[in-house]
Amino acid sequence: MRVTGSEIRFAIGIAFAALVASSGLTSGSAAQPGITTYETAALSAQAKKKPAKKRSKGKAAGTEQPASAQDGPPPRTPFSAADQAVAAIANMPDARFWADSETDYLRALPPKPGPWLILSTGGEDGAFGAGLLGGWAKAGTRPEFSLVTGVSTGALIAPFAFLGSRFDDQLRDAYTTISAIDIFEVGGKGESFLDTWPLHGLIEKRVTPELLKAIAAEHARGRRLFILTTNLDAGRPVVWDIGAIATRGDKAALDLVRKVMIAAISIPGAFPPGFIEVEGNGRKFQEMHVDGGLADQFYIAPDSMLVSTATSKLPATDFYIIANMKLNSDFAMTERTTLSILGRTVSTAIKFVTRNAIDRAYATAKRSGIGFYVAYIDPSFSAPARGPFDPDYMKALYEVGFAKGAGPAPFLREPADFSNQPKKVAR
Amino acid sequence: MTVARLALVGFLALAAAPEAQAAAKKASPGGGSFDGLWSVLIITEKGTCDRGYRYAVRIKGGRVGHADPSNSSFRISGNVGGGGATRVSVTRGEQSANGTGRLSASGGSGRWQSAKGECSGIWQAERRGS
Repeated sequence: MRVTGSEIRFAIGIAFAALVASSGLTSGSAAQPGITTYETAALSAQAKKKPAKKRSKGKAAGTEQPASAQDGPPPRTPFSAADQAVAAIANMPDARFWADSETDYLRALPPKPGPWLILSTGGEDGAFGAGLLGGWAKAGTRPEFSLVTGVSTGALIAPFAFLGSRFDDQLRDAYTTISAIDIFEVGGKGESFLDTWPLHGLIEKRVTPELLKAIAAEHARGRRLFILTTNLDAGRPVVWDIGAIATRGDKAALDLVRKVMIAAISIPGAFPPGFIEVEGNGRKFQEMHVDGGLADQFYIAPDSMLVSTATSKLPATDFYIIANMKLNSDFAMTERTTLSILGRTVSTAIKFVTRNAIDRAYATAKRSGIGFYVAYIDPSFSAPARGPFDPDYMKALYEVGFAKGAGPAPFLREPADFSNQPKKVAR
Repeated sequence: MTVARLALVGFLALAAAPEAQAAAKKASPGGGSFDGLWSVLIITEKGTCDRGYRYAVRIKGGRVGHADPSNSSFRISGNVGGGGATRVSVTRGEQSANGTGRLSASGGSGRWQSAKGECSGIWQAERRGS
């Protein structure tokens, strides 16, 4: 079929390109749903599927019933860089900080050193991380982390991972029972190609007052949970101290955490951005936040503390990095379409960026005397996917992650060599 | 053949029972009571099309169309009869899908099938606004 620039395909394509970009779905023999053909996918003719659930008509948290798709988004309340510089969440001054601010970061860290869990981007490939955590707990060797950070899909895993294995079933369900229809609707309203009102309902169901209460209790014990978004106006990543927010314990806190989690996975262009109410210079306005993956594929510390010239030591005993993606270069025939080329381009770029980030984390760990552990999706994983967020694909990946987590060596102790070059000869 | 795309193209293939089609034909767009914004789930049950998507659709004067009128990526033609019988055809390029079913005041369901029969499945609709 010839590409005619259709908006419908463009919408799915962009979304998928972004998802692929963060998930590595294009690698291996996994098909590229929505973009490429399925002739190569080994699929059964009859899809096993759960019956579509009856959906509630009610308002989802943080969403508005669309008056009309013809209506564009309302204009924003203007604000200046000076307003942004002092903007804060009402009554929650410690809710967040710039991810590149050393001072704020050091202030927000756990008071005592401990193992850190660092969860990467990856879209539906977050099923890998969810599975690995489940298997790791089953093996009985999963520690209690003093800090958990999450970016994009990692932000969705992070609260459950933070709370420990008693939430593993919820985590498994979140990554094995949902599909595209639970996340987005084709047809945006002027600021994205897709609408995420279904996702709002999903987050409302998963992020409950009880969950926040449990997070607040752990925060009080000195543990920390950070989730990353990108403030698109400022062009800077933001760390949300979810435990500090949860400690407030009211509806405003619950609403904010839900908004942050949705913004944290809002791939710009594909999904609508999240808007966060703030106050600054005596004015109220809304910041525009999108997926934290714009800035970092995973978050450990401000860049200035990770660069090779940094001298600071981070108060961690171990880094456990779960990269929810394949990192190896894989062959995949790229169609002569804009989206196919863009999708392949971005997914390739993300792999290289992530590899370099892992390498930098390793160097930081060595410099600081911190144990280093990294896990990512094995290059051999090649389950087919019938479109984004295919539950069968995600179940298969969850199982792979689980087996890895339950196995004798879930993590590598140093970055892998992806150079595809002959083994270096010791000199 | 690009079956995956066909799923996208054929999303509103509210294919189904002949009697529903007949009813829909008889009922000139009289389904004004169904006017509004709907969210339609398209689920593939047979074939290797993508598993399923959700689409925003607008019914106006009993006629089914894009929720966003500026969207010209594919053609939707169809209508909803006064009793809710629904018939819709979707065409994009050389591909098309057809379907029928029935809407109620707040929801609806039916079946769809691609014109060449590669894929088929069900649809479900829920009203999202006026």
